[in-house]
Amino acid sequence: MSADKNLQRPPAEVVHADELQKLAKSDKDPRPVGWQLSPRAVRKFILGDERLGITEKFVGNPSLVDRAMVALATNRGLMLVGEPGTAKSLLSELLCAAICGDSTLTIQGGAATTEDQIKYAWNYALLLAEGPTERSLVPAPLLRAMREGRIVRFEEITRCPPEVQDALLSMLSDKVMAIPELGDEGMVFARDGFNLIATANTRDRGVNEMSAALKRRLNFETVFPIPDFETELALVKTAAERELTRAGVPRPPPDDLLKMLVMAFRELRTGETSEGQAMDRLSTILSTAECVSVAVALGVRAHFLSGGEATAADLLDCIAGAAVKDDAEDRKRLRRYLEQRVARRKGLRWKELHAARGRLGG
Amino acid sequence: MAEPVIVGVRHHSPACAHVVRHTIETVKPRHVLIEGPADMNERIDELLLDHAPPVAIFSYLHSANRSHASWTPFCAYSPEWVALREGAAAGAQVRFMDLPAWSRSFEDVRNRYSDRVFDRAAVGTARLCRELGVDGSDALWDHLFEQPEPVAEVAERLHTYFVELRGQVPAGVDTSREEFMARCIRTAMDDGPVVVVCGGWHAPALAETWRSAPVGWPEVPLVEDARIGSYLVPYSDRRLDSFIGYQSGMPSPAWYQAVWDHGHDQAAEAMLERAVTRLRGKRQIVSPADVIATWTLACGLKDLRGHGAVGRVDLLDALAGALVKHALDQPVPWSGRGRIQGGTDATLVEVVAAFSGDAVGRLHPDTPRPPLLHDVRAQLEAHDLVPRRQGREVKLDLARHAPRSRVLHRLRVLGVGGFTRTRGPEGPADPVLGETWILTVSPNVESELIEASAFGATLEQAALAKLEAALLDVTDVTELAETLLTAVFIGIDGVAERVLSVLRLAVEDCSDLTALGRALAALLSVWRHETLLIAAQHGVIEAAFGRALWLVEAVNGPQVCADRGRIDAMVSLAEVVRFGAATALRDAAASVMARRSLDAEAPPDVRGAALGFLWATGDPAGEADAVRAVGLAGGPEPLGDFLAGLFAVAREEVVHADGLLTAIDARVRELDAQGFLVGLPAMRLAFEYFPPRERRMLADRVAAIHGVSGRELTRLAVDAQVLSQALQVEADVAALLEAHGL
Repeated sequence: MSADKNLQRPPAEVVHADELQKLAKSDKDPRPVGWQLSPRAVRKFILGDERLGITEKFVGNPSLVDRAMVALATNRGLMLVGEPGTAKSLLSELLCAAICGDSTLTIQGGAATTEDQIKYAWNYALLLAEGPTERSLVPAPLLRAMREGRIVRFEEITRCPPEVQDALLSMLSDKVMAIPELGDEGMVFARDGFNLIATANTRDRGVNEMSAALKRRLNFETVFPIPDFETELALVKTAAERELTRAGVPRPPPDDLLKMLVMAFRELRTGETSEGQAMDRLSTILSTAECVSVAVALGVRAHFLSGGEATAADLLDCIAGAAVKDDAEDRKRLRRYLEQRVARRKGLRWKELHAARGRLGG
Repeated sequence: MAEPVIVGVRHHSPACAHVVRHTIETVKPRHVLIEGPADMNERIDELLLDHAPPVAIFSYLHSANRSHASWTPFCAYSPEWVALREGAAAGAQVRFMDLPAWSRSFEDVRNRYSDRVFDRAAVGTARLCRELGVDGSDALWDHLFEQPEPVAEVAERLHTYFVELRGQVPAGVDTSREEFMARCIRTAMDDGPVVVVCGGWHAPALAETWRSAPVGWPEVPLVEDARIGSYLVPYSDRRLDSFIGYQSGMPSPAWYQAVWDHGHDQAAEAMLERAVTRLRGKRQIVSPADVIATWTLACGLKDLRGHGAVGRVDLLDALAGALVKHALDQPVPWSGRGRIQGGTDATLVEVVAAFSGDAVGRLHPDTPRPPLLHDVRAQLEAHDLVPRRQGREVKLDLARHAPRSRVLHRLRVLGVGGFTRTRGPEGPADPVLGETWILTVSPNVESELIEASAFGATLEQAALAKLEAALLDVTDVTELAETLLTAVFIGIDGVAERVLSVLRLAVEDCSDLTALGRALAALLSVWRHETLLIAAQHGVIEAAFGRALWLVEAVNGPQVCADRGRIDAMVSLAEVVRFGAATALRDAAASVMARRSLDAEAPPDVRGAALGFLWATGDPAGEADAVRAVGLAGGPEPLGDFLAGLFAVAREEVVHADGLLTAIDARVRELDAQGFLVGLPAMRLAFEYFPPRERRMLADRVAAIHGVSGRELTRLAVDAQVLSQALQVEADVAALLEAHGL
């Protein structure tokens, strides 16, 4: 694939083509059949390796990546579950890019997903003219992945109706897809390297509704929010700066404000204060991704609207916009957080935040 | 001069034990020096008896102002244990070379062989973990050392690792211990080849300093005016496991035992079988296909990580990957260090338990009996409490026989059979002042006492330590507080601050206001008896108080009926303020209560109780506010609920408030017959908060408002319940007549 500089978001295998090439060259470890890199090289690609100049692309437990890769190598499908915004899709994209060099065979799950978006459809003009032939067949990502020995990604799989999910069963266990319309040639056997990575949100319609038969064919891995404060802060800082620069904002929000933002997000997300006291967690999603977008909003607001430096009051407005939305319960929880937790904090910024609590309204 | 062979080890590591064994075989030393309590040296033969580990040396100190208890645990694969036995078998002089457990260097140490080192060098360990792609220091250890590799290679790597680890922490830690050890080494070196087995942390330092140490075996320091001692006790896998125990060494003792017994290859298979058996025993479904998938995954992880055999974390990871079929709420326990977190997946909890094992050590019959047995016998005789075969009833008056009662309660805490209490008070505030006990001779007393002696040398000490251990195990807040109440009965002066800090954490995590209220009441009653460390307990009360305030703010629903547990919790809150137990939070409490008392979203009983709280804690406008609130309280049912909250919290104030009484009377008179019946149950609940005498006083005053005698008004020929039922029937009949146009 050629790299087009004007793409808004090129796929991982294009963005990191250099690194993949470098890894392929130095990769001496054994590879599972159908893999472009050895699992150890894939791990380096995802978690980074300073000596080889490979950047860290996913922040998380190394053992999670290990388990995920071994699941894929042992022909069990992989299911990544977790809160929204925990970089599940990113991890699945990176795994695909490194293992089979292609992360674009993607099915987006939703209430309206049908079987032909997963397996195959027909070009109806050709179908009428020629009947069911190889030429009139329009392969969907799953069929392509089986034929080419690649990994297919199934995003938000639990949002699909269960009967559509179950269409995957025979492909996962027997590794074969039947296309009865093609007659004797209609049995497509998967080539080595074929597998599936599904992702699902714990907030969405439950993983519980998934059939036991399908669950049995998938290994579940839970992706957790970044466990440690410093790492998350660093991530939010760099991501926010990058996006603000792209938006033409020269000055990122001040460090102490970002620190408070990340801490407040973490506390409201986990339901536990940094001092170890229990509190309510908000029902809204407060992922690192959300945190970055609040930081960006803060920067944009300060630069284009108020024209000065962002304040704690601005921060509260942004959090209220991102976190509370229109949920009255969450508004109450946030208010309680301000009244009972923030009120006892020392430090100028926290005092400012407490003083601004009136802006919450409601 | 020749060099001693110093083997730096991690305690409870089979890999290190192999290195130790190999070293002793090749060096054939005259002396084997082991990091362990030097006061045991005179009795080292006791350790060499044929015990079934895990066993531990229990050391204690008891003086007027200091009390300390600690353990030095050994399992079959402990490097120190192997050094003791292999050294003695090879004809070497075997000695411990560290300070006794009661020395000041072990002030906060409960377990001599816990891995405190890893916490000290956390930053460097984290960096190494990142570089090697493993989660946490335990996984790192397994990855680096617990592999089927030639002993010499492991020894080499251990040395490099510990030198690096030691380099990360500034000097000046453990100085007096290392001086003591260096001196032992120096002295032994005058007498032929020496093998030293010590924590890897000390090894690099000792290698440098031993040469300049003075010659001559150092004296074991004693403590003046204190009872001190060490003796052997049975230990258990559970207490060894760092996923479960406090200040423990390595996690998953059963795994390392299997590695030690059967070697790496068979250990993994044996442990997989063990985990699956345990899960199936707990009625969790593990199909043969799941087992195959687990093993495939484990082997894949082993290859990916470059392990020579399936390691502990490989197998644990595989079990998690293949068996868990839903999202986890907590990360897998082995990705961190320390006790298992609440909310951990049930399957994983069982897996970790299977890896923990259930072995309990056994001492050789010739081991001298621990002093606890003698102490118990002496105490029973001194207090005339010796049980009889046919059973014996003992009646105690707590005011006069407190010391006798304490002895029995301590035995009860230790779980010694044959001492049953049939009657007695539940807490210090209970008005019952007598106790009845039945004392019988139980066949297991001796073995139960030997087991209990792991907790202490005297009855008092052991009961305290056992109680603390129990407190650390309980997670339910109410149960915790009630366990704390037993401290009052066993009559000990201080529960360790560490226990209180556990209680504090539990309290801060609690989200059930009723349970928290009960805990707060128990804490307060213990506090008022000044049984515990006042300062630390104060912190716990404050934490419980703060947490309860937080929960009070969350109770919503104007239609919600009154709740006794909730009201009692509010009463406890007011009590805390009244007794001055949480002064720092007084203002915060007042502002929460002021908000709640006016909050239309709050249930009526909470509003009433919040107002009562303000009034009872000295708000001068209390009565006026209450009168106003009564006027605004809505229908008869909310009015009753509101009053229940108010009366419960501000009982004493209400009894003397004529204005409020008039206002309530006016509201009740406004009610029609139907309204009165609807409100009656709630009103009854409200007035139940007054004792009969005060209720009578109130009735008299209401009667006075109406100009009649109280006695006439309150004397009923029938029960009030029957009367209200009669009224209800009457109303129903009237309604029926009306409906039919009659």
